[in-house]
Amino acid sequence: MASAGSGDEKAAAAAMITLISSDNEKFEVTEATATLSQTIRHMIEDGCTDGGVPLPNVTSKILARVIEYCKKHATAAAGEEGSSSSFSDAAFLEVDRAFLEELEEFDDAFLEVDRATLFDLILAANYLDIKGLLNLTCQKVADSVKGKTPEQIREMYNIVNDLTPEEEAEIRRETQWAFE
Amino acid sequence: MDAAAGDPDRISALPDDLLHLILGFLPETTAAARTAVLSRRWRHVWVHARNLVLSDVVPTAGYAGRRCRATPGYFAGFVDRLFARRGDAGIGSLTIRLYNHQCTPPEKVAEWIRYAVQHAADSFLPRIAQLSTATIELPSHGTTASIKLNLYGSTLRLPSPAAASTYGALTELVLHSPLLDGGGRALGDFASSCCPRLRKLDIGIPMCLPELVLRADALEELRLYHSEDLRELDVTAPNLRVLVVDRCFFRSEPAHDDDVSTRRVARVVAPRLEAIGMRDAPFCKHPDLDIHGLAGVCRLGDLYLNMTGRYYRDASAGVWLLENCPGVEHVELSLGHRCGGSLGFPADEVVNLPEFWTPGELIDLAAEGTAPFGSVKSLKVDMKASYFPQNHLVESMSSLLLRCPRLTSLSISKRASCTCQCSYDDSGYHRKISLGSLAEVEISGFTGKEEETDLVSLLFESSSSIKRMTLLTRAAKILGSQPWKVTVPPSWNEADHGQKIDPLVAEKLKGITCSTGQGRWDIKEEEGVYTWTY
Repeated sequence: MASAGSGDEKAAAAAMITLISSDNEKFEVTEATATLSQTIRHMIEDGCTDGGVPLPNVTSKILARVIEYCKKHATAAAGEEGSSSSFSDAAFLEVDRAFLEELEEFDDAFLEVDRATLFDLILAANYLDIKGLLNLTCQKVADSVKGKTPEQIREMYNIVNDLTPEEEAEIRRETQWAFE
Repeated sequence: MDAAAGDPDRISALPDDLLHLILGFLPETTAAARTAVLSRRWRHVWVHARNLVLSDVVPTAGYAGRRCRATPGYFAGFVDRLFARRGDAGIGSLTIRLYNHQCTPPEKVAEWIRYAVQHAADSFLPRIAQLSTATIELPSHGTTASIKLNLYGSTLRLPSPAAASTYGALTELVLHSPLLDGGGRALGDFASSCCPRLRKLDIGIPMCLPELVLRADALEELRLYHSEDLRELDVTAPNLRVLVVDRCFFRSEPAHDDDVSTRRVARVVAPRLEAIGMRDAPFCKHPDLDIHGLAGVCRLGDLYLNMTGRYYRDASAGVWLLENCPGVEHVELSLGHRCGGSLGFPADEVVNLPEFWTPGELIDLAAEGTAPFGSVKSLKVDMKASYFPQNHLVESMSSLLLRCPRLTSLSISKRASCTCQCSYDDSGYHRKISLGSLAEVEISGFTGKEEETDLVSLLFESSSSIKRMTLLTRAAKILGSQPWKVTVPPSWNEADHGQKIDPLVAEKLKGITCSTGQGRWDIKEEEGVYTWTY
């Protein structure tokens, strides 16, 4: 994903980038951490990060969490890059299982947030284009819906049913198999 | 974390593409489809879920209702309407699972497969869990990057290069239990001529694959397993890194090496090869191995050595690979023992077993003048001890270690011991082993038997560089593999996973230590963990 490829990029990895949240808080992060975001990566490539990167869609509270995620996963990306073989998925090849487990534990703990924060993280991950974080948070929402009836989902998320009974019956007919 | 009354409806406010992503994470598309009745906002969103998983098992029946018969036509109608509503929109991945094939006419399946290989970007996994007499046919053109087919013995017809077929984006092809129409030639031709970007080819339990000829420039990983009727594998792949041949080349008739009709051969030209996994088919001598590109191989896995004391049977590809890969550093292998006794023959018949059951000559692994195996640094040994008689352990291990003088890390996993009563006279002849770099040792499945403590002694006698030695009993292993919260009932634990280890063993271990006399044992009998640290 965002693992640096060329020697130049590696040399630049130690460079610091300033991110500025919507409420004007400044966060100093390494380039390796920041470039987990494809959005920021492109800004760096275009050379428009001097004086900091304003992120008007992300509050300092959410940005702090996003940076926490990126820091952890940037080390993971660096680790992948360092391994001599690109065949780590091959069953009998060495995989740093302990590290992967640690990363999984980190992700689980990271997702222990209230629902409002979860949605803020989804929007931030989408805006910053951080694929791993976006998948992680969207998966969390999907898991919360899994095995629930439509009534339970509506209740859980305060969704107001504005369908008439006739419309609802029609939809059930259209997708009969799903309600079989 | 239910929403409090008055909280805004954040989920409905998400943009469509994020809802498509979320709905794509649901285990089945029917779960996404049920969101259509949440509200007007949701009515059409599910149709464009990023990933689709379509299964003909009644969706709301749950696991217990797997066999529940569906109303005929409902499933096919659902899939047809869904594809029609999506039109030409691309799919992230598409999975189709058919358990009740009589629910879906074969021409429908063919139509869906055509739709899938032309619309799904990432992967496409029709899984057919019931033998169907119909032939599954891949259309001549596809844009998908990955195809995984689990065919349960159904016939698969691959597109032929003669029809100018192209799968230009295909990087991964996984076929599980296909009956290959046109045999290996059809598969070889398809992979070689129609898939210029194919990087990974994985074929399991194929039927009718006597030969496989591949000329694949992009191929990086080739895995073949249980390809039992395979006689000739001929691969030229300049970018191949990983080659796995697992229980292929089975031979059901007695061996006649000079008979061309029973000859089996693996010919591989792959200068960038890095890793090989090769497990022999049971009771078979390995095929002729003609592999070019062994110089760069640093990993060997899945190897099997059939041992009798310090002798191995040269039927196995294991020792051949160890001796022919000069750069090998990491090895995973199973040590086993297969003789008449372990096959259930009475002891007095053991000597005269037909060569078919125990092919190959017995050869001394530790013979004078043998060279080390490459430069093996890490060695993982799995003693499939249900095949391994007790009295062979130390000698089999020591003859193996003798050939690995540069070892730094050793891990032995020993399982329950064997019922084989075959006698083996330890001749008492031992060549001295020197493991000058060995630092880490772990032995799991430790039961405290004399041969095991003998092995521990042998390791300390052979190496003064050991930093850490860990012995794990079966109790430790059981606890280690489960979350700590789970408590194993002591009675069950003792009955099924070995008795408590005799306290005398701990006393004995304390007497075994590094030749310099330094280091000490930390013995946690309750947890079944014995650790020696320097």
